[in-house]
Amino acid sequence: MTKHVWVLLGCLSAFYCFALGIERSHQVLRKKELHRRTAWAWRAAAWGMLGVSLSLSIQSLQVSFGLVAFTGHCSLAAGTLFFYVHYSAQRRARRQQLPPKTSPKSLQ
Amino acid sequence: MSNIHIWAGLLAGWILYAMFLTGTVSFFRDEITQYMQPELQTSDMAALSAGHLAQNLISKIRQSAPDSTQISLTLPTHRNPHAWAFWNGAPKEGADSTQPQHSFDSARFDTQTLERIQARPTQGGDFFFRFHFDFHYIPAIWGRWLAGICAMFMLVAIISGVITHKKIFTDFFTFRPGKGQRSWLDAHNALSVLGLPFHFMITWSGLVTLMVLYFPWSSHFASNSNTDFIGEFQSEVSSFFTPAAPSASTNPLTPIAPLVAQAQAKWGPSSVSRVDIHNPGNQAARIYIVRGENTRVAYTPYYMEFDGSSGALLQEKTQVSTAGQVRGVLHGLHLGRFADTVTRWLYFLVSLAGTAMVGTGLVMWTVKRRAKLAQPHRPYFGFWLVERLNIASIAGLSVSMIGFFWLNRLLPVEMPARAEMEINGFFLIWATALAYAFVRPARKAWVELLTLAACLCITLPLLNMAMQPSNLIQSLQQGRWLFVYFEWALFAFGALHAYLAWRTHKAAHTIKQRVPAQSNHPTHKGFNTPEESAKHIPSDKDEAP
Repeated sequence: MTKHVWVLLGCLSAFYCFALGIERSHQVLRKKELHRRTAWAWRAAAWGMLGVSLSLSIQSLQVSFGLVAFTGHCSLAAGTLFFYVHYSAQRRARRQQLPPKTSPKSLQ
Repeated sequence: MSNIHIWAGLLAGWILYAMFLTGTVSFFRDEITQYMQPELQTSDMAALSAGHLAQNLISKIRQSAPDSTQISLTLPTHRNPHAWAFWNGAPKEGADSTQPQHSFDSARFDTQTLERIQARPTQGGDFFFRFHFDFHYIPAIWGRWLAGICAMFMLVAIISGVITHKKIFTDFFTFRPGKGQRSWLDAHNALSVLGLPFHFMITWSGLVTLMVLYFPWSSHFASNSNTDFIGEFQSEVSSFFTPAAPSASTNPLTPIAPLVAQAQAKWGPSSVSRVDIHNPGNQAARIYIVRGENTRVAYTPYYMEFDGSSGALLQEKTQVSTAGQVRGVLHGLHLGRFADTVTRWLYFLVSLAGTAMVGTGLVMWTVKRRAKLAQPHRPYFGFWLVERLNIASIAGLSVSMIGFFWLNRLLPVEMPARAEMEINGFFLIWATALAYAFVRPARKAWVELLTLAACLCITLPLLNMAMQPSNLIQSLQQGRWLFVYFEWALFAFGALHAYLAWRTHKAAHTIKQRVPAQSNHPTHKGFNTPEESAKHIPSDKDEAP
């Protein structure tokens, strides 16, 4: 169980970095524009964290079980971040008394 | 590519939704079966070692069926605490070659007392498992062909969906609520992308598990040129052993416990899942100790074969060909029997997301087209049919699945053909839901069926309290955690269905308030703004399914 918790935490960190490396979710979480260089830095950090989680998963759960569990934790972490970003966007919209939008480009 | 995605998804969508949902719950197949047999006490694991348990049970079976030439014993696991055995009896007199040569019997045994245990007849979780690729009431081969065709459509829909979804990274965490079609698309994209590796794996591996059925020509060619092909093929894909003919001389069966211990010493504790014995008490006796699926991903044959008279190890099968290994890994990944509790829940949740992906795709088809309808209350036949089938296949299936659990509790235990009656009831409820969707206004049918599913989920634990020896409070007191978790899960699914019903009702109510105001506007009838009207951007009125 503890092994799974560590892998999940690693995946959550990785997808949090991904969220910060994407313009729309970056604006929601950090309330400022994302520069190109910063975006690449966040994405590199995210891939790095995913690599760490994968190696942790394989080391603690063996190769085959580790790969399967890692994929599942990635999906769970991405889903959790998805809800977190949505929740943050709504909370921010409520505070600003505006209709909830994650970006000005919402009706593309 | 977009059209391929839409039509591949829609045409197979209703069957795919049922396959996905029943397949999803099948990850807890053993647990569902236990829940549906509440009179069985989930006793602690056996006090005896696996070897001694096997030894004692096989002795017991041989005493009751001395003429048996084939015994297969499945040992208990942490998910299924009972032992199960299957054996043949005396040869049938006068049976021709087309009929079984022996009578067969099976029983479940308590691992503490070694006594046969009786429970209400039900297929339990096995019904959902079989349904998700065999369906029911049709020959299994037809069902598997249908499942294969739908899985192929799914694979096409996944690949075309990835190609169509241009902003896969930009929109990774995007959900824009209250935007009608846009919101549905965001939800569909999120459910697809976040579990994409799983969705691809489960679809592809599903096809691979039945590849010999779909591509029989290579095996036909090989079996024509090599008469041993079937045996060779079986030995590469399954631990099914063809019994040899018994010899004329008898010999006592060697003790089984040391053989199981020998296998466990090599494979690890709790690694033996099955003991098969052919021709016990005969010179030609063979004992097969089969490794379980809970300790490895690949679903390939892995066993030790012993001489039943001397106890000598004849063969240890640990390797198969590369093709067999690839197939075994994909089959194992699809079944997920190796998964520990956390990984099993991950399988379940991501598969549930896959079910929701198919469901949102189906609903989006109607949401997108409703915006273009000249008379939304009198749609053309195709739209009307798709909408009703969506209601029956999504909300109706929820009602029938929970109805299956209700029937399990309500039907008399002594009823003849009880297990089949539960299944007939499941289909009867589903057919009633379809008829209901046909006769009710669409939005009302959505709300009412979702509300019914929510009520059935939430009140099933209450029915248990009234009727069953095991209810939630007693389960908590006795530490029967499977029942506790199952009923909590029912409350959770009840809450989810209630939320969906409430959202649908709320959206329908909002539309009623908006439509009269907008319909009087001279410039943009049916649209929120003139810009939307000009661009034909779907408005909030599409929010409800």
